[in-house]
Amino acid sequence: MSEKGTAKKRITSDSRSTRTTQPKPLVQLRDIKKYFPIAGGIPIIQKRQYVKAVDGVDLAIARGETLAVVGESGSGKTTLGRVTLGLQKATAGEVWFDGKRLTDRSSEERRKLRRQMQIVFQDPFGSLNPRLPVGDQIEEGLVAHNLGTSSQRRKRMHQALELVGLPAEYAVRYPHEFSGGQRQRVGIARALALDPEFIVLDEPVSALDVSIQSQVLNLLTDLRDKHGLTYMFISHNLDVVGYFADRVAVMYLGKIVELGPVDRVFTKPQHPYTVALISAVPKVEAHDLKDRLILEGEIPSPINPPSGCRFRTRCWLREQLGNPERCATEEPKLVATVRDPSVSVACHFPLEDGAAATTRSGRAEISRAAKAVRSAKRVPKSALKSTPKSKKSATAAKVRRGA
Amino acid sequence: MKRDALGPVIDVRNLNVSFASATGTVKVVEGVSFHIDKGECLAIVGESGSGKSVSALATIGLLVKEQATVTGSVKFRGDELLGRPESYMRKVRGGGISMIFQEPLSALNPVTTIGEQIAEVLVAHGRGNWKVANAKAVEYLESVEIAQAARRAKQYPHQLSGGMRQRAMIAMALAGEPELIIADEPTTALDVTIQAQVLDLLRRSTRERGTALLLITHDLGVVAESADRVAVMYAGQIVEEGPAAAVIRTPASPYALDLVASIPSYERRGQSLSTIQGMVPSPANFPSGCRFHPRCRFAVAACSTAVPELKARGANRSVRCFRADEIAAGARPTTKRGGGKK
Amino acid sequence: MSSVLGSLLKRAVPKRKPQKALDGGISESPWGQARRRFFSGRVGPLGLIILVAIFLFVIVGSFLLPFNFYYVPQPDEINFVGRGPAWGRPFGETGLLQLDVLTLVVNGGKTSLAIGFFTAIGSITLGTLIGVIAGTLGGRVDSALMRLADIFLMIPTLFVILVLARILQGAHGGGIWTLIFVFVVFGWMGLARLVRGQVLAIREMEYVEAARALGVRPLRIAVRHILPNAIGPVVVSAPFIVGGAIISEAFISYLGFGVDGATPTWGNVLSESSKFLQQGNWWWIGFPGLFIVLTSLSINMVGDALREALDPRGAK
Repeated sequence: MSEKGTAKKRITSDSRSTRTTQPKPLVQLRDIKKYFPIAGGIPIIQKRQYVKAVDGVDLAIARGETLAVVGESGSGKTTLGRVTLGLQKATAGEVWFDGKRLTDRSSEERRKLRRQMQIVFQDPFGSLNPRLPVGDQIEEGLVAHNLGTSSQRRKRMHQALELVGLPAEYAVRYPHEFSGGQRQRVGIARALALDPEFIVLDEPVSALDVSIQSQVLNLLTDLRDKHGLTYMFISHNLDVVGYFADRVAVMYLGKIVELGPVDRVFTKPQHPYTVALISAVPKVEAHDLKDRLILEGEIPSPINPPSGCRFRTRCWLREQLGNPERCATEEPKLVATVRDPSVSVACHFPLEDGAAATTRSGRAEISRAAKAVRSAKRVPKSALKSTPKSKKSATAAKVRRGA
Repeated sequence: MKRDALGPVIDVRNLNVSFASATGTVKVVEGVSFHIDKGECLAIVGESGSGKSVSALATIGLLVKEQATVTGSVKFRGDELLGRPESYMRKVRGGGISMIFQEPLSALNPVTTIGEQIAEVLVAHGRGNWKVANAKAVEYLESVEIAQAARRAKQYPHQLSGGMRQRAMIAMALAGEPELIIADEPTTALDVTIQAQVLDLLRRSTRERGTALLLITHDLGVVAESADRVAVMYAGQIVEEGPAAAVIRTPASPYALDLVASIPSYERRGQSLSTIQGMVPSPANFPSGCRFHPRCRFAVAACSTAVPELKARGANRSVRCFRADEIAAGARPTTKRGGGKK
Repeated sequence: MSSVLGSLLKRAVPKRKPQKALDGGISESPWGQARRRFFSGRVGPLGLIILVAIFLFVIVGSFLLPFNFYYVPQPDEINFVGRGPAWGRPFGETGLLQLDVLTLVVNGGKTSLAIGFFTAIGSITLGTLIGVIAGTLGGRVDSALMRLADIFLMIPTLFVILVLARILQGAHGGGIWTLIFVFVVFGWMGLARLVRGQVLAIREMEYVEAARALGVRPLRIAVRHILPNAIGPVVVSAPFIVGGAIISEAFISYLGFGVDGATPTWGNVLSESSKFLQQGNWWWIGFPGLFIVLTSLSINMVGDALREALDPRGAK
C-alpha cells in the first residue's frame, strides 16, 4: 500500500483550498439519474411511477480531494454513492474514473475496476459477515483479484489491520467479538487492503458514539494524508462535513443545490436550503433557540417532486420574496456564481451572505432588502403581499396553478 | 391533584439499578440523583451503555421487576414511587408522567388512528366522553403544529412521516396533562431540519405549560440548545452536573472535557480531534476506583483505587473527580494520549 | 457423547477450529457459540442421547439379529396370539408367523431410520439448491421455481404419495428407495421457500454489498457469504424432516401402501400387528410403536434445542 500511496502525489492539508483547481478529476459524474420503479399499480392502464432518487447530478472529484455529499433522508446521497461505485446501475448518465468510462462496461470489467474504488458502510453491524473471521473478510478482495500468494495476502491483511489501529492477532476473531468502533475499523481495513485510490465513505461515523466517532475521523484523516486517498464522504451531519471535507455538495430531492469549497459554503451559504441546514444543526456553542431558522413542512416525495425549484415548497426566502412565479415554473440550474466562481448554486435568487440569515436580525435585513427589490420591480400586487401563515397556502396554491 | 408547586416535580435520590445475568448481578446504574423543577428541562447525556436510558426507565417503573433490582428513592410531587404496585405506576404513567420514545412507530398503536389514540388518553383521564375527546384530540394535534389536523387525526401511524409521528407522540404526551415528560432520544431518528422543528416544539410546549422535561440524549448540541441543566453520565454514574451552558462551555470533569473536545465542527477544521482512548466499559467489569481512570488523561495513582464522590463545586455545579480543582487551574495531562493539538 | 454430535454438526455445517488469540482470549465462531449453547441446555443433549442410543441399538442389533423374510422359521401351529415377553425374547413374539418382535423392531428400525435420513438429505439438498438458485438469480427463474413449488404444494401430497407408491412399486409394494424418492419430490418445497426468503434478506445485507464492492465473483458471494448465513433454519429443520419422514412411512405402510412385509419397517410391523390387536398381542404393536414415539420425541427435542442455539436473539 505504502509504496503506491507515497508514489502518488499527495497534496498536504496545508494546500487544501488549492486542491479544487486540480486539472483532471479522478471521478466524474455526468448527468447521473437513478430512478427506482415502484412496485404495484395496474400495468398499461396506470403510468409506471418512479422514485427519482438521483435526478441529474454532475460532479467531479479531484485526486486527493475529499468531497462531501450532504443531505437529509430522501436526498439521494446514498444512491449517488452506490451509482458512483457501480454497485447500482445508473438509469442515465455516465461515470468516469481515472479517464475511463465505467458505465456500459461489462460487469467483469467493472468488477476488475473495483480494486481502485472501495466503500465503507454506515452500519458497523450489518456490514461484516457474522460467519467469517474478520481476517478472511479483509482478504476477500485480494482473493477476488488474484493478488499475491496466500502468505502475501495474509501479510497484506495483517498490514491493513495494523493500519487501522487493530492488532494483527485480531484477524482470527469474529465480528461479534468487536465493539462498534472496532468493527468500523475492520470495515475500513477491508477497503484499504486493496490499496484503492478512491473510497466512498457512506456515513462512516453516524452509528458511533461521540468519543469513538472522533477516533475514526482522525484515522480517516491520517489515512488520507498518508496514502493520498480520494474520498466521497456521504453524510447528513454538517458538523462532521465541516470538519472533514474539502468541498461539499448539498443535495435536496435528488439534485445538488449548492456545491463549493467547505470554507465558502459554510461561511457564506448562498442557497436558502443550505442556510436552513446549517442553521438547524444543534450547536454546542449555545445560541438562542429563537434565532434559529426552522424550515416548515416536510421533505416532499421524490416520486412527484415539486415543479420548478424542488425546494420551493419549504423555501423561506421565496416567501420573503413574495413567492415569485419563476420558482414554480423554471427549474434553476446549478451554475457557478458570479460572486465566487468556485461555488455553484441552483437557485434563481441566491443569497449574498446566507450566514446572516441564520440570525433573526439577519433575516429581517434580508426581508427588508427583498421588499425593496420587490417594490422596485413592481411585482403584481397579489404576489407582493407579505404572507402571514393563514394566507400562505392560498398563495402557494395560486403559484401552483400558475405553474 | 397538584399539591406542592414549590418543591421539585421529580426528585430522584441515590438510584441504583442492577440486572441479574448468568454471571451474577450487574450494577448498571449507581447512586444517580437528580431533580427537575416545574417548567425546567434536565438533560441526561451519555454514550451508549452509560445507563442514561435505564435510569429514566427505572424512574417510572418500566423495568421488568424479575430482571432488575431498583433501590433508592424516586419522589414524584413528594410521593414515593419506588415499591409501588404496577397498577399505581400505570396510573402515574398515564397521568402525571408521559414518555416520548426515539422511534414513535413502535410506540404508537398501528391499528388505531392517531386521533383515537389521543382521545383514548383524554377519556382515560375523564376529560369528557369520546365525542368531546375526539374533538379535543384534533386541538392537540393543532397545538403541535400538524397541518390539516382534522384529516391527520383520522390517519394511521404508518401514513405519517417520521417528524409528524413524533409530533403526534408529543401531542399524546401533552394530552395526559403531565407534570413531567420523559423524552428518550426524541429526535435521534429524525432529519436535521425536522429535528430542529421537533426540539423547538417540545421545548416551547413544555415551557408554556410548566411541564418538567427530562431529556435523554447522546447529542451535546441538543443539550446546549434545549436543556437548562445537564447531568453527564459515564459507566452508570453521574460524573458532572450543572447548568447546561456552563457545563458545556467549561466542563470540569475530564470525561465531559474530552467529550466536548471530541465533537467535530467546521470551527475545528484542520485540528486533530481530541479522542478518548479505549472503549466504554461494560457494566459487567467497571474498573475499580474512578470508573473513567483507564481512559482519563489526568489520572493519577489514587484514581485507580479510591472512588471519587460527586462533590459540589460552586453554587450549582457538581463534579466527580479528585483532580477537578487542579484541572480547573490548568493542570497538564498526566498522559499524552488523546490530546488534540492546537 | 458430545463428540458424536460434534462430528454430526461438523458434517452439517462448516466449522472452524477456535483459535487462540494472542491476548489469551479464545475466538469463538458463531457455530461454536451455537454448539456451546446447544450443549449447555438440558433438552438438546438428552434428546441426542436417546437418538444416538436408538441408532446404536438398531445398527448393532441388526447385525446380531439378521432378518430374512424367506428364511423365517415356520411355526408348527398357527396361533393368532404370540408369546409375551420373557427371557430370550424380551419383546415377545408375534402372532401368526411367531416372529421375534425384537428382530422386527431392530430391522424395521434400520429401514425406517434410513428412510428418514435419506429423505432429509435428499430434500435438504434439493430444497436448498432450488432456494439458493431462486433467491440469487431472481427474476424469471425465481418466479418459475416458486410457481413450481406452489403447484407441488397444491397437490394433496398424501393422495399422490399413495398413488405413486402404488404405481412405482407395483402391486405388492416395493423397495424403500421409491418411497424416499416420493418423499423427496414432495418434500423440498417448504425448505426451498425458507432458503429463498433467507437468501433474499441476506442478499440485501451490507456485507454482501461490501463483497460485491470488493469485486468478489457472484458464485463465491453465494457460497461464502450468503449460504453460511442462510443455513441456520435448514439445520433447525433437518431433524424435523427426519422425524416427519419416519412418521409418514409408518402411516403409509400402516395403510398398506408402503414398504411390503418382506422388508420390515416400524410402519409395516405396526400395520400387521394392528390386525391382531383384538387378540391381545400388546407387545407386538407396543414395542415398534414405542420406538416410533421415542425417535420422534428425541428428534423434536434436538430440533428445538438447535433452534434455540441458533436463534440470533440469543447470539451476542
